[in-house]
Amino acid sequence: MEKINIELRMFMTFKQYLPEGSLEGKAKMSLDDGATFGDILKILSIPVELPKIVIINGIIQGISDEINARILKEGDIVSIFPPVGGG
Amino acid sequence: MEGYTGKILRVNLTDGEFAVEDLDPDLIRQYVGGRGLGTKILYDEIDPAIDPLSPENKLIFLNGPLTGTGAPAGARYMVITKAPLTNTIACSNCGGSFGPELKQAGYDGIIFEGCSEEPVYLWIDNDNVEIRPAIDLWGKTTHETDDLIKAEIEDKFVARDTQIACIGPAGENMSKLACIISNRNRAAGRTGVGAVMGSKKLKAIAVRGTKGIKIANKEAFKKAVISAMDKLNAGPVTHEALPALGTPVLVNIVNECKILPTYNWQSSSYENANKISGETMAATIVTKHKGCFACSIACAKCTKVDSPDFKGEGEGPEYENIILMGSSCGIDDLAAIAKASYLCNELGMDTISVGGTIATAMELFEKGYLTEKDAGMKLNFGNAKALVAMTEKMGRGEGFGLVMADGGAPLAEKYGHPELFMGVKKLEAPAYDPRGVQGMGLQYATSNRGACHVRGYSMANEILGVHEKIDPLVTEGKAAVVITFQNLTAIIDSAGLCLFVALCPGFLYEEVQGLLNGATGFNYTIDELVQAGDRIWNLERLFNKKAGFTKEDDMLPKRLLEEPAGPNNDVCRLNEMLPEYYKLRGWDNGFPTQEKMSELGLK
Repeated sequence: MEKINIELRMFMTFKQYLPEGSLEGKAKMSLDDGATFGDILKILSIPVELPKIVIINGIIQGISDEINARILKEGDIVSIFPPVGGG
Repeated sequence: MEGYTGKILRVNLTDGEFAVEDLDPDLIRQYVGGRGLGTKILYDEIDPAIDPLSPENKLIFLNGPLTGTGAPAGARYMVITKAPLTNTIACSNCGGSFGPELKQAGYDGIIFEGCSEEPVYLWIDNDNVEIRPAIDLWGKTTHETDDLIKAEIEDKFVARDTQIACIGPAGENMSKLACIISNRNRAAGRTGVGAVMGSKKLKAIAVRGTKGIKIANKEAFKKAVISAMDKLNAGPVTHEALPALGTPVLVNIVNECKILPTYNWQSSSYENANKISGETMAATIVTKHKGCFACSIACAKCTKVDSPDFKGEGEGPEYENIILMGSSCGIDDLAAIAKASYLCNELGMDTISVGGTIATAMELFEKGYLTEKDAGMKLNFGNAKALVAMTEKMGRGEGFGLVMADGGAPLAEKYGHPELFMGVKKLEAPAYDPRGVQGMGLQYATSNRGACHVRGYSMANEILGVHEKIDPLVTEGKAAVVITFQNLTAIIDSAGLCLFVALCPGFLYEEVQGLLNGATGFNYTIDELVQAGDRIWNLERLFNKKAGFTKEDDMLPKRLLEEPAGPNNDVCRLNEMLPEYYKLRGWDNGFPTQEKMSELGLK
């Protein structure tokens, strides 16, 4: 099966779910073509219900249920945060 | 009167006299307190067209009804005056313990009038009020001033409880970026309110109070406090993110969303953002957490820098100035940013405006419009030592620092490139690039004190999804969102609460209503509070109209309107939002119509 490569960036409490050997909260991942955001959660054992903010290529995504089915593509940068805020 | 003390102290600095006056309960009800009531008093008592640094300007310190009552995050006092930096209405808001102590002494606020010939400070110990000489304090930093005033007090318990608000050398020099500092590191920061204090030769206010604060309906208030605390303790931002990392928690998320001002807004993402992030700050310089009076959020971070070039200790930096002094100056050295922040607190300057002004100077320098000879140093992007050195020169009014101490707009104008000033109404913009968060662009353009994030933080929904998740990249519907946040913020400010409560899901009018009604017994309806927020916003707008502003001033810097950036490589499409904003506000030509004014009871 064809593979795609993405960059995963995890912040704050989500850093604990990164694959071993990841540096500065970042990891390269090779996924099956057609893989979804939900697949990343499964591979890294991230509980689906954890509240989170998801950003793909700088675009902030909608609520979790919709985002889980989002199909990823080659070169995507996926950033995951817990809820944050306040300037 | 409950919640309030019902008393305001009026001090005439020209003749050294003062009087205690009663506040009008009807007026309080219409304007709530703090920002709203202060604006009403200023609007009625001064001509908005005056020079802000003339003796005719008044300087009003005012609490909200919830300040000091024990309501969570109810620590705020506000400084209302005509702003030297922007010439607009000014309301700068500050936490810590000064406001609560002033209320304990029996006053909702103080109105300063006129101008003293010699430097003075005001001493308040309950009913004992004195105007004292401050010649020995003039020239001192805010920290030195705090120490020296307390050292004069014989009773060590009185000294311990005394709360001080003061200016540093920047305020004395009437720098238009000067702020007022209380509790050493808390600032009524924006629009140059410290310069007004300096123009009146008022170095400090020291207050101690023991009178207690009356609550109208103790049972109802207790219930409202518990409900508010439950919400704040369940909110991921107010219970986890802000207590853990403080406001710098935003650095990484704002960068990932590609709305992080970088190189004076030439770019909207920064390759070294992680080096200046909240996580890096927590791992390197944070020593302890600190909260304002009665606040469970405790977002303040005490920090210490050991590196020899930037050695120091204090509080912060905060998110906004990490970005304006950091990525916007191309600087990734957190120690230098912290040092520049400490200097701002000690010398009494607004960290956001100082960072924004230096970033403008750096772009002028890089493009060859400003030379090393002009500036007295190399002001290239990335020069961390120059950031710190120039901050100190600005605060002390030395050399080229004196030119820069009046802000980015006059600087960019002087060197022939006004388009390199990144702000609105001469107020340096805070740290969210509206090319990727459209509502914030409308907010900057329409805020009554210039480019400001704390007058309507639509970021809360556009990026953070606190109350409702909405798309930051579209303009549709943003006018209504911005108006909702602007009016709500006017009520939160006027009540004496910290705006951060609105970063808690569901902490909206109902919570504020519960707290206000418990404390004051006013029995406000939600509709009444929504209308009061609208009234306050419109009155501020009318002040600006009389000060000479027109709708042409509701404008963003050209760069944000014409040079694409952000995740969609877009501009801020202000023209798609502004007409709808005016329409929903009930304004014609940028100002309230007669009909709108009648609806709100404004003249």
